[in-house]
Amino acid sequence: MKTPLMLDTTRMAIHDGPGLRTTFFVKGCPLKCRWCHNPESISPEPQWARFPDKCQRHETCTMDEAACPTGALKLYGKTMSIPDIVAKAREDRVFYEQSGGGVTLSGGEPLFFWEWAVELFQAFKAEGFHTCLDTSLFAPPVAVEKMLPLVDLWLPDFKTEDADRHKTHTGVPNGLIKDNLKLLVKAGAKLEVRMLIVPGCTDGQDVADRHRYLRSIGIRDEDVVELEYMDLARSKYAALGMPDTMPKKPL
Amino acid sequence: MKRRKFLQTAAFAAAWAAGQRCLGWSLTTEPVGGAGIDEGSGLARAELEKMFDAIAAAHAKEPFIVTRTKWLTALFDHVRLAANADDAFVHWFADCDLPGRRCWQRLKAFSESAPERKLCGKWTTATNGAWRARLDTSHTCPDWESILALGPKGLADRARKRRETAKTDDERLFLDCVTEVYDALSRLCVRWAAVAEKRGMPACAESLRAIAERPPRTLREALQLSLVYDRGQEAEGECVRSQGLFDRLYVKFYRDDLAAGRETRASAKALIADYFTRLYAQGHPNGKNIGFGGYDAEGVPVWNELTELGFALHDELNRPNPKLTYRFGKKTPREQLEKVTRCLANGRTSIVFANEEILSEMFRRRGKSAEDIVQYVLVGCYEPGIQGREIVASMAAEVNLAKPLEAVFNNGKDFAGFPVGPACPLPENAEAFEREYLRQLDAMIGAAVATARLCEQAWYELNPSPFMSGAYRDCIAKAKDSSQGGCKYNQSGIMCGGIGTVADSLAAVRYLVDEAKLVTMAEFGEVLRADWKDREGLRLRAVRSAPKWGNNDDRADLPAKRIFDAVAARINAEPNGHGGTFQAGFWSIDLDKPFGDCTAATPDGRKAKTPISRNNSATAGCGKEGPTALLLSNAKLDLAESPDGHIADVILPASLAKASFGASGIAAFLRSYFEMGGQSIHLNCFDPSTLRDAMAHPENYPDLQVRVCGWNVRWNALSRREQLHFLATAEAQTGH
Repeated sequence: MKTPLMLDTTRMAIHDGPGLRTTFFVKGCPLKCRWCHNPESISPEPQWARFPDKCQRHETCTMDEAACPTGALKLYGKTMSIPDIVAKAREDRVFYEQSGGGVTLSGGEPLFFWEWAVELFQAFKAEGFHTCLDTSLFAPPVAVEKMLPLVDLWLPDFKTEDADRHKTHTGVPNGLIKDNLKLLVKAGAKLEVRMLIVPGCTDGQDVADRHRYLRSIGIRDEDVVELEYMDLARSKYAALGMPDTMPKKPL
Repeated sequence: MKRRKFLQTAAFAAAWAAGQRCLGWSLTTEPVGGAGIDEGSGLARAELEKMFDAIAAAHAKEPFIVTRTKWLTALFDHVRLAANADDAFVHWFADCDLPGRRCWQRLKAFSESAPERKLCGKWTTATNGAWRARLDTSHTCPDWESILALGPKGLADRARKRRETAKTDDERLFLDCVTEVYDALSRLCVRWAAVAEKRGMPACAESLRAIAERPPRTLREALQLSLVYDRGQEAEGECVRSQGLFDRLYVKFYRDDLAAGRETRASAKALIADYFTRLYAQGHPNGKNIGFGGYDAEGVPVWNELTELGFALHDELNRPNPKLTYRFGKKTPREQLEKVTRCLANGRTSIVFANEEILSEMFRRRGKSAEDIVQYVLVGCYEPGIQGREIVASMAAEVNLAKPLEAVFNNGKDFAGFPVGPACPLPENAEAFEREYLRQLDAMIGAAVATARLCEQAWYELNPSPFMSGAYRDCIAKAKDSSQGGCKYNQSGIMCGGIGTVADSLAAVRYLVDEAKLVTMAEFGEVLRADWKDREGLRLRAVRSAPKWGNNDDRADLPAKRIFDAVAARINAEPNGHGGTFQAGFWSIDLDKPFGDCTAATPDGRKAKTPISRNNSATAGCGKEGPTALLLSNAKLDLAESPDGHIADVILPASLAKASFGASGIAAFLRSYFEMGGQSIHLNCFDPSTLRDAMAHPENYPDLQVRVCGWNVRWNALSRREQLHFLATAEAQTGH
């Protein structure tokens, strides 16, 4: 079983499903979207980032996050066991109960670690949590099938309907994703499909095509959300030493 | 238009500034309405001063309550009155500071008159910022039920009647004084009616003449009486810091008016809007608190036409003041709470929420009766008290919880050499450090409490209040001034600030000295004495790696709980100086800065002369786990043991407020806290990006309000330092 490193935990998340939620982010994703706003989530390995605008290149630098006087150093990717994750989620139980919220797993790509995700979600369900899964759906169908009884609301990304464009901009084809979407529809899963609109990449006709496709496979318009693209992650690409591939957002 | 022109005059500016200065307030909120003094309606200030001097001389050998009564009576009979045709009500007169100012001079003389009194009212010089004790005359909630049921004449008659059965000369004197000031208040109403008539305010004039003679019968009369009373009490020298449970006090007047056709819903709303505006126009920088909601005597949540109107107006007017309290609990329907949280989603954050269940339990433990508990209000910012049955006096002493940290390192003295507690050897480890901290704190609280008691024992001699006491039914029944224990309940509060700084410091000592062994205890004391000079690496370890209060981390929260329990147990058992007990409060308002200015570097990484933690928040910049964790940390405390109040200060991201479920999301957040045992909570809703932009372009944000620590101000009225402090807290709490 592949176990991911964890990137971050967001408490009181409000955009990752209904109510007040705790969202856990895994590190590692099989896609390489040009516009990825979490480039630190692509590699499954731990990564040091040095934010050059903050770094004063101290002679005594020990590459110690806690001792860095300017906060320029950051280590992405930390281990967190399933019991640790569940314990963290449990802290905010009263907020979920009062708001109709729960827990969300995001990334990275959670289904990149699907066997682990199944185990985690079984633990979430044992706690009685409402669960959401934020996923690209680029995963073997068996992963989706195993997760089906454990996920209350699926939050799949649908990046583009065009196969070539998908391959160009994300590095992988979208056949598997479409198959998994159909699988979810067939199973009657509750969905909120997210469509990021990236200027110059997946805007204009692409948006219309995506809507048409989703309708054609039986997904209702009210279950589809369009998201605005923000190019605010450039400093992270630089800090990680990765080439900045983010498309520019027109003013 | 007329009002705006007047507000631009030098005369108004001077009158305004004089009033603010004399009441010890700074001009931090902008007035929108104001004086409009009629020069011909009374005597100039110099003539009043002469009259006051003559009164003081003539009655020098009698108890001071006589002089005070004569001063107030002279003021009511001769002061110059204000009225503005644009307003529905009158609310202001000149020179209202005169009696209060003279009383403060008496307190000053008292504190300088004997060695054991020298600490009363002193601050940095006498205690080096550790604590201050004084007479608290700025936190009261009058007996609004008596005032509205009787009117000035009825209040005078009640005292007159009680005098018939009075047994002692002291009782008769007190009741005579009450009668005299309320007879004078009736005359003031008549004089004011003439000025209002002259200024083209016939309806206002008619209401003033009516309330001079009898209790109010209409909403207009009731609201006008509230404003007249408010001015009268503040002229006596005690701030009115709760206008009472508005929706309960005034709904009968409202319904009667609508039934009789005297008012429509719209005209009544306009009256209430003007009432709110008059309170705003007083410019009190810490605001006037108005109560709404809560359970009634049958345990049913109160929500009536005036609850609805009150919050609708708060939303429409978008003003920092008056500030509103909304009491709610498990039985409050969601839709009612969400009507209130909608104001917050719209950025109207001048609202504090009070938990019915916890506050009821808290009052029960303090021996208050069930029928009184349903009448509770929050006074000032968030200090609980029973409307009309107690003064509250929530700031009899202010205690800087961070100060004893220095004494633990320095043999019972702070780093400047001022004594804090008993001599002590340097502790060897974190456990011993905490034990010694509590010992030093206990001694410090003992000194603060003893001095506050001394002040209160001299209260009647220094500051008797025939006007304020005369409205309290229990003071009349006992024939005693409130300063002599005349109210039904006579507690007073000791507020304690900086629990976050202390909890973080105890956790940092454990982490740095015991666990990581990065510094010895002796070295640590020297590092702090030198304000972390040449030890920036160690300081960053303390800031970044040591556990922090407000993150639901037991390593910091449990020390906080032990401090809380010790402080509450100590203070809540202490008799005060006027017939009740002291009670512990956990809040700092904006004393985090003056406390911090007097406090050396602390083990949590804080540098000397920087603010300590505010209220019960995480230290600025250290609340990394966000708002839910902050509430979880606070909920570990037994908040029914904090009878002088406990507030959770939270910054929510604006995205939550603006999201489609903004009002219901905020309501769920509040319900969660109360479910866990929270006492009171208030919120800011903004993103750090908005604050950064507002700092760069203040001209674009004239209406942006922030909740400072119990009151709201416009963002642009804050100093740069205060803005940066806010920004750091917002960045940590919202995560960006």
